[in-house]
Amino acid sequence: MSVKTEIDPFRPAKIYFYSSLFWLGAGLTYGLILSLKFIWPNFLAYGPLQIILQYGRIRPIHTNIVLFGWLTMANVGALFYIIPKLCRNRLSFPRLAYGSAFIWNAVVFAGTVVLTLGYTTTTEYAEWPLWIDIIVVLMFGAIAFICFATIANRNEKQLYVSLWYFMGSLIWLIGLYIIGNLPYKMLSGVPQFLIFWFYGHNVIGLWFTTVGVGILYYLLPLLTKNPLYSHKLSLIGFWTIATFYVWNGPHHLQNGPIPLWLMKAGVIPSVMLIIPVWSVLANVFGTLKGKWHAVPHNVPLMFVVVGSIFYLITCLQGPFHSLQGPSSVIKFSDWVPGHAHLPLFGAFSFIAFAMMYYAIPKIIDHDIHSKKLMGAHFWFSVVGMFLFAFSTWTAGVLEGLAWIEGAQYGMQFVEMLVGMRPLFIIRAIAGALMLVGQMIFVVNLAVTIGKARNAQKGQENSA
Amino acid sequence: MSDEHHKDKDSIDPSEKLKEQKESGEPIQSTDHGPGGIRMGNAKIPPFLMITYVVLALWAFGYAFTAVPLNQVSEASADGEAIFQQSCLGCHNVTNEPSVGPGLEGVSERYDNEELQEILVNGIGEMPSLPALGLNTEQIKAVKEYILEL
Repeated sequence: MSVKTEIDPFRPAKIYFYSSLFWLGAGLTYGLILSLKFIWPNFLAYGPLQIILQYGRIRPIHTNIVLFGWLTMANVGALFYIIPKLCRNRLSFPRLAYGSAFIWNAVVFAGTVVLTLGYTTTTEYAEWPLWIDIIVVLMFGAIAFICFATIANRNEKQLYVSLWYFMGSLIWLIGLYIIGNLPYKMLSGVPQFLIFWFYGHNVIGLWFTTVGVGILYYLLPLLTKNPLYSHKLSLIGFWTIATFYVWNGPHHLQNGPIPLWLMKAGVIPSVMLIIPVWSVLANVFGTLKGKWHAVPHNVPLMFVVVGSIFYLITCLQGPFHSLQGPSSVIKFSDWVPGHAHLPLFGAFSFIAFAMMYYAIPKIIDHDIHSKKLMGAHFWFSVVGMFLFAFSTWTAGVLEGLAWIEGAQYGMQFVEMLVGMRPLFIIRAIAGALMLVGQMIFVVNLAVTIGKARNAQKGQENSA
Repeated sequence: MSDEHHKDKDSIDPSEKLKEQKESGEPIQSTDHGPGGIRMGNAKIPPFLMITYVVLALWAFGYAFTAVPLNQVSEASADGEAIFQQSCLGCHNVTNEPSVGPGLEGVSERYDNEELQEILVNGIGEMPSLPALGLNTEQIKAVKEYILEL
């Protein structure tokens, strides 16, 4: 067996992965409480919990934890693992990278406390106050610096397409985070909300999506042992997402008080996003050619394939929503959370799961404890996601059509809301399934990590 | 270290079979593989994607020049008389004869436009507000126009 050197080059990746697991559990627990409040509005409403668990506070807590605690940390862990692999070198500034994980955890914790106390900037996905935003930007800067330094010192001539995506994402994230967090102080009215939505949509599209696609491009050839289908397609996908994504904000104000040219400037690039998405998917299916028989035996590959399909569904919905007619029905309804969970949980969390199942055994030099539990994690997540999506989509369409008929307020609104209860119950069951799946995931990894530690100790003792 | 029970030989486990170097990150790697052990193919762009690109580009220009704003407010739903019969007639007569509430004939002489709007939107005494009855702004406007003519 290998003799471990003193310094583990993947220590930063490890600490980011492990931290993200904690936030995954915390974020989904908040999500489950939210979904139960849809069924029993007075759920947990006694004593001080009535205040700290009120809907308006825990909804942003849920989104911020899953976005910045879970998925961002999982993504950064993946960057710190994949970039050295693709560059054939070691991560630059490993101490800074390691330390940043602790600061990042502190930031997510502080943000959660602040939101629990009732402070918010009301910017979707950026509800944390300005002083936290400044630390966040500095942290993103440090992470980008580490990644770019590693890439600059590479021992590999060719920049694989994943690196293109990662470099783009790191630049875009810092820019849009700064722009997105300023209008709270500097603008008001419609321009403020235009920038809010510029940020809200692009943090998904130019950070979670592009890092997720980069990880997808890394994992797919390795898991299938096929060559990547087409280098050219991957470049078309990268440059078109870079061109079109940033225009997506205004479609959130579709049919609202913005000029027609601005609506069009939001709608057309939204529909053009079919180009990068279909190009990525063509590449995925091309790479899988001849290896489909291997998919059911390989849980990471199952996550990657199903995640890609969820990505395709999301991005068929997105352009469709942005059009005036569909937007007039589904806007403000429960359809929207269904759509939002599809890329963030269904597509990119699935890819992050696959990434951890792939990378952690290599980092700690130990196989995943149980394949059965991996399979259970997969099925709980997929079934949970489907139930969540279909219950919210159905509720959303029913609500949207009822509102057009005049049930926006008064008794008719209440009647409509009562009628949605069965769908809210399905939604809560879906949330519970997702949470159970993630608990299985975390326990499985924790046992694996524990076993690896024992194995290492045993070696040291015998040496 | 009893980890033999989860060694499943049928499945492809990348952690076992991929011939990568140990996790020390040393820059040793056979160069006939691509970066990080990934090979890259050079497949051409599939024809259906080319067609998709062209169709989307044509649609974009078409939409840019022809799209018009959507008017969601349907005129048919705002028939003041119909809404009155459905939502108001239970308590108000169209004559000056009082029912549960006062008769509405000549209501325009008793209240001016703004007072009437205030009553319709917020209710008065026992009378519920019209929004609480599930009427939207357009419908309330239609009802007001109808009763002003009584």
